[in-house]
Amino acid sequence: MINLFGLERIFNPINGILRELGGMGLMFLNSILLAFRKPLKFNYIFKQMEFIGVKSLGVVVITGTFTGMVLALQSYYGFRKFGAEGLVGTTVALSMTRELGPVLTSLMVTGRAGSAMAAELGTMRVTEQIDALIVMALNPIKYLVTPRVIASFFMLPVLTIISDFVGIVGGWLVGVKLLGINEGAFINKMVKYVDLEDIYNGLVKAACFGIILSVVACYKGFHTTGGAEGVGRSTTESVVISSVSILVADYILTSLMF
Amino acid sequence: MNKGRLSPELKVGIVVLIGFIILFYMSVRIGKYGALGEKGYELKVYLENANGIDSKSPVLIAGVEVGRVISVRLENFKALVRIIVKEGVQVPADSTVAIKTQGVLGDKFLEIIPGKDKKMLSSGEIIKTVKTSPDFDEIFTQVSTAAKKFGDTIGEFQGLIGDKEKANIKNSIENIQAITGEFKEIIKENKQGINSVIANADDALKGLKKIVGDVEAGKGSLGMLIKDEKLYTDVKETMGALKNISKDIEEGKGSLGKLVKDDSLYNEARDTVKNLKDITDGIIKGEGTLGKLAKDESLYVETERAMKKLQKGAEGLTESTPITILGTIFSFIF
Repeated sequence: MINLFGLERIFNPINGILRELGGMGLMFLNSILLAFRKPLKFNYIFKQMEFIGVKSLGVVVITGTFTGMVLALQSYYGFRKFGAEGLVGTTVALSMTRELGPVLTSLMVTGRAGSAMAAELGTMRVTEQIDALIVMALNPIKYLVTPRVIASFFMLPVLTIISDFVGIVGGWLVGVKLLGINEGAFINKMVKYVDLEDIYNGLVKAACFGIILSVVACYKGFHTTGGAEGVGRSTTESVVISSVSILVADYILTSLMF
Repeated sequence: MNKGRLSPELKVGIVVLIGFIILFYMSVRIGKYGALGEKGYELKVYLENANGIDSKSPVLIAGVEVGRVISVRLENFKALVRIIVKEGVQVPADSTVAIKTQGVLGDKFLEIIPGKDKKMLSSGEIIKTVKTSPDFDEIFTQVSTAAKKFGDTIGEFQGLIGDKEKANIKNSIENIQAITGEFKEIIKENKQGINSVIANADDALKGLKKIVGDVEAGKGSLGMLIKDEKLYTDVKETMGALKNISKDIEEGKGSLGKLVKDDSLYNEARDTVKNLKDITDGIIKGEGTLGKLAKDESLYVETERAMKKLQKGAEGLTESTPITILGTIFSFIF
């Protein structure tokens, strides 16, 4: 455990990866199981929801809007070559609801909230606050991890649907107002080709990504070693691992869903 | 938690509410039958080739979307396509289904061409008639085969025609041109005549038509001749009788037969004629009584005299007749 990110990992990387994966899985299971054990402190969950959801809202809205806008612009130049400008709305809506909404939102939340989680828990670990919780007979996983995982699980879909919406609105602004695509064609084609399933599957994805990012961040923070430097390393690793995992999981989930 | 600031719960509540409102709005805008709430009923159709048809492919009637494909499945080597049709849209039982293409992306959709049946299909029933349209590959194959054949034909034709034939063809065409030019002039000059000829021919044809119609109907003698079988049997019988007679004659039976066949009659007739000739010769020469009668004038004179005497006697008789009659009456009374 002491040498987890040191020699042991260098000499036996597969063993280390498997151990981390198993540790994350166990932490996730623990946090979920502990959620059903009373007392469940709702105010901790709401606090995390505020931190993960509400405070990420601005970043997510800006990201979503500009993603939708640039999608409209790019697909307009593409579709104009064979006179299918009406499909710009479809492209924007499908891309946003299926992929970019959930993935970009999750990445933004990872960068903003995931890193903060890892840093916070890492600091608590290094300053032995977690040990103090154990001494006070408080389960640190129930007290620290469970609210974060639950909050991420519920807030990511909410952020995603907002991101979808602002992305489509951004695409509409650029496509209809700026590039002069016929509004009826834009909206009708979009409504015609986008299904409810696209939106719902995107939300399911977002929930999964929420679990991934929170579990990875908590695990990394929980198992931080090596003082302030260790906290920084944990934060970096949690962001990198979360982001990569989200993209890999996105592919797997997409191939399962569509 | 601090005073003057919104509590975390409220903030989270507001964000979640916004999220739900957006989700609800998007669901309503995009929502289609079968997915959430909207009611419909299911129909089935078997397609030979469901290429391009997928679940969620639209189903149209007269260009209006009335439903969607739920699933496409293989059954007995045919594609079983299940579709869901909006509640309130009725499909006649003899409707036809066709696969059609739409848009730049070549999206396929199912078009239901409504039939005229009064009976409407209900849930789970099958639309039986399917209008197949050949897919692009088939069309291209056929077109390329046709083009190849056409090319071959043209090639053969080209090989067939040398310079000489070309000159001939040119001449022929020039001749045809000259002829048609002349013909045109002739027609122009005799336009009225041709018109009347055509009119007459028309009348004649009409008359002929009528006659043919009458004959067909068995009217008139020609009609009867053609239509009446009795005449035929009569003719046949007559011919039979004639045949018998000629046979009898041939065999020398009956008087006519004998007349034809027996030489003695001829000989007798010849002799008689000869005798007659002898007699007339005699008469001419004044031989015999008849000859004298013919040749001797004295008889005529005598006869005349006698006749005169007879006339006188007759006149006298005429004058004495009343007296004689009176005498006769008297003798009756007394």
